[in-house]
Amino acid sequence: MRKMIDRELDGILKCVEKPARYIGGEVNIVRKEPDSVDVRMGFAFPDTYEIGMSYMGMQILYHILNGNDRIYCERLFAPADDMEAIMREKGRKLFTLETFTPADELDIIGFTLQYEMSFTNVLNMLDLAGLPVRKENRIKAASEGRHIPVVIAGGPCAFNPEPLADFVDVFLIGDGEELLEKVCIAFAEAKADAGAKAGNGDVRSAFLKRIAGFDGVYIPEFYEIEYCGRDCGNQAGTIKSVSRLVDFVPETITRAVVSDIDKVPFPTHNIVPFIDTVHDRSVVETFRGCTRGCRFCQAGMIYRPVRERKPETIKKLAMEQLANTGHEELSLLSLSTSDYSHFEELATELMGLCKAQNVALSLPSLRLDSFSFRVLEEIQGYRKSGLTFAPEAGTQRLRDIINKNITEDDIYGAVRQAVELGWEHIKLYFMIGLPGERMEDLDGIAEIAKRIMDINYEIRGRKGGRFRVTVSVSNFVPKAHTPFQWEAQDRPEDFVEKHNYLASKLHIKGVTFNYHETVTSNLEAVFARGDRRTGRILEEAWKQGCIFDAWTEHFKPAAWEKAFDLCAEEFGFADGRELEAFYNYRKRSEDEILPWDIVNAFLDREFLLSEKHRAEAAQTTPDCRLGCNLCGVNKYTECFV
Amino acid sequence: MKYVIRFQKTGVICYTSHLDIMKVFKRSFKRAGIKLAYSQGFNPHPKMGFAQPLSLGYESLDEYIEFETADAAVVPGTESANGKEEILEKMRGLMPGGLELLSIEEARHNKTLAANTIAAEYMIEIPIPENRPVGWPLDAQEMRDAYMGQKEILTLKKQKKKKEPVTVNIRPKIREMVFEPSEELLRIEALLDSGSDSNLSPELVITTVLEKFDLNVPRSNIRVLRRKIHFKQ
Repeated sequence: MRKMIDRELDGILKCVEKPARYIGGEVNIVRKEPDSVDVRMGFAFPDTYEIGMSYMGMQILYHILNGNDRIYCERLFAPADDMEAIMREKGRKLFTLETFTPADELDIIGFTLQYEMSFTNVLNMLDLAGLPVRKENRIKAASEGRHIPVVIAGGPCAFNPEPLADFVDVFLIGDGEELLEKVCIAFAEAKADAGAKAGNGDVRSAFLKRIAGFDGVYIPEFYEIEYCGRDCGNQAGTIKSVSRLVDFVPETITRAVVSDIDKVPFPTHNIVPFIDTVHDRSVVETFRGCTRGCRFCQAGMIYRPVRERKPETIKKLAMEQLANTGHEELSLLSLSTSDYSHFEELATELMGLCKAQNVALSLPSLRLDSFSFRVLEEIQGYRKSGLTFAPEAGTQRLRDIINKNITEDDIYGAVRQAVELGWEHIKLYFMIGLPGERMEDLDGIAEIAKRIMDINYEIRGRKGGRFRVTVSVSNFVPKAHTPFQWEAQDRPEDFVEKHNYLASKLHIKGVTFNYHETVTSNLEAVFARGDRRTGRILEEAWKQGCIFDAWTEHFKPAAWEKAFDLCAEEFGFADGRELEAFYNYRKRSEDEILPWDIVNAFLDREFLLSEKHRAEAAQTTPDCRLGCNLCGVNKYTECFV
Repeated sequence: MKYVIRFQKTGVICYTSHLDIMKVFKRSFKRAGIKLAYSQGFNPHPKMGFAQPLSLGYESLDEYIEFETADAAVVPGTESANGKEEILEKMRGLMPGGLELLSIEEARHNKTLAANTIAAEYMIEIPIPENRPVGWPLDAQEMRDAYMGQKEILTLKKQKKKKEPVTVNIRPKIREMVFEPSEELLRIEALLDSGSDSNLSPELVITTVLEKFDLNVPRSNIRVLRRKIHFKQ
């Protein structure tokens, strides 16, 4: 049933690095006769195979869609540069790994948007598929009789869909488990309705009409955005109004939500890659959502409420996955592992089950209490990896501002235990550029690193010489749908100055200091909060050769700068820097219409504002398991089910 | 118990490395519920190995993997004293396309298969470019004599640790070669030293054949198939 590859592709594969990225055929892939289904969908991950295959969401949706006889879901990844060069030279289109079908022959291409720095890859993959990147040009091509797939996109970055609105036909916002299948079936129905003779464009229109009313569906072409001019009263360039062009679309898009997570399908036959990927292991999602309410964290806001799988379901899924994949590692997936309500029982049982099967258990993001130490002792034994803390900020005041409820006593108490148990490596994560940050907060970061070194010396004296502390600092990026969505980001020169300051302060024996690329963080921020016009910047940058922007070796700052300069003129800004400043370095006013206001993420504006004001007063808000903080999500769905 | 499975690796799966295939076997044993014996030490790993690694991009009709099971009862639930056929059946259902398991035997030697490997047969297919070399196709016997009759066949070989390639004479490691030239294709059957004592990669044979007969064919058009591995008796 599997099509053999042709000579040309065979020759190409002999010329590229890691050819197994492009051959499919892995254990547990789904094979179907393409002619036997009503809808062919290409699930596209806008990065390399190794990264995409480590993403659990793709495995979840792949198995749900392929569980439906009417749908065939295949996989598409961004080829690495050597492969891309040969594909372009030979005119070879982006193809699916299941049947080597050119992507432009599919009905639907669906991108998952996991991080903003993958956006240029979305454009590039469309282009590699032989499709016009701009939606209007694809519509035109379809009207001329060409078969054109509908391009859809989902994932966390779809919560601010606007930067990609000119390239994507339909955004799916929220949980995809139920929505994506519904949308695919709607496409099949639209195709049937339009009849065999109908053109591609007619199917598209019928399809859009069918799905327009679904929760989570955003079709940008049906909304018009007007921007403020110089004399509009508000800041020039901000959104003046958003108006619907048709009456069958909602004013705001209600995010799709799966209320009973225990009942939605979860994969037990994960595709097992041949080559090493970032993560190649069995994974079970224990719960979705988080109750801690860290104010910088988009995931903690947009995945509310907390929805847990039952312990029996988790164990069953874990054992089935291990049995069907032969993986040697099992990991749990959630935003903060220890918050699972039956965590101790679950961890204890999984430890037993894994030990019996020679499987390593990995528990990321544990809260470091005494139970966690017992667990870690058990699962890591003498092979201890580093112990990780994410205080995020260097002083209690700043941690209160961001509502990261971890105290210095928590950290030092846990470090003391860790040192006594023989851990040799502590990893610390911080953010710089947070709202309300002062120089003393940076000093606080160095102070924590130094205190940890001292604790080690105090307990182990000279014997503790191999002990290391790694301080990793990332640059704060304000995100949509968080209490910090109105905040200004630090300018590149501020970040650089802070990095230098920290580097001098952290010149401590045994301490390693890492930090993130500055320009990338500033760019990420533009698209995290960008409006529809920022799509032009993306397009220009891509035309200048920008792809794989998340990869340091591919990132092209000069090309980006050129794209900003070109667009600045178009949007009426003096230059690229001023344009960037408009999106990043100004505090937005509380009454400004924000590009992502079109998305109803279930968070009341009053809640986000009150959190913003509490942050300004350095007041914390308790974990909402202790009492409702009125974020608004329970108006739409039940909390804690 | 120690067993040897003979298998084929054909089609696009040839673009996986031998380490990738090792992982496929390891996981398939696990999926089949067959417990392998593990090595001792800080980093225990299952006792299994190939007779001879197969280069990325090569297909093969004759591959061997040996492995040691943890206990005599090889497949849970099978009562037969000798469950090797059950192992094969279970494993067959779990292999990805392109890996075909042919047979299973109990291991007969104390030494590993790798230590017993002495030579391997390869088929090399070189498509002849449109603008044929003068006089093509040459006579098969003449080609053989011209190539094999060389006292020394010198070529550059990359060293594992050194940066600079060194010149090596590959002639002593070539046991036999047959040339089958036709209008569009040069097929070569080669029997080469293989294994830990003396080893010759078909890549060096390809380079030197192309040079000798002045053929200008990109490496990506050339197909290599391992037909057979020879062991010490």
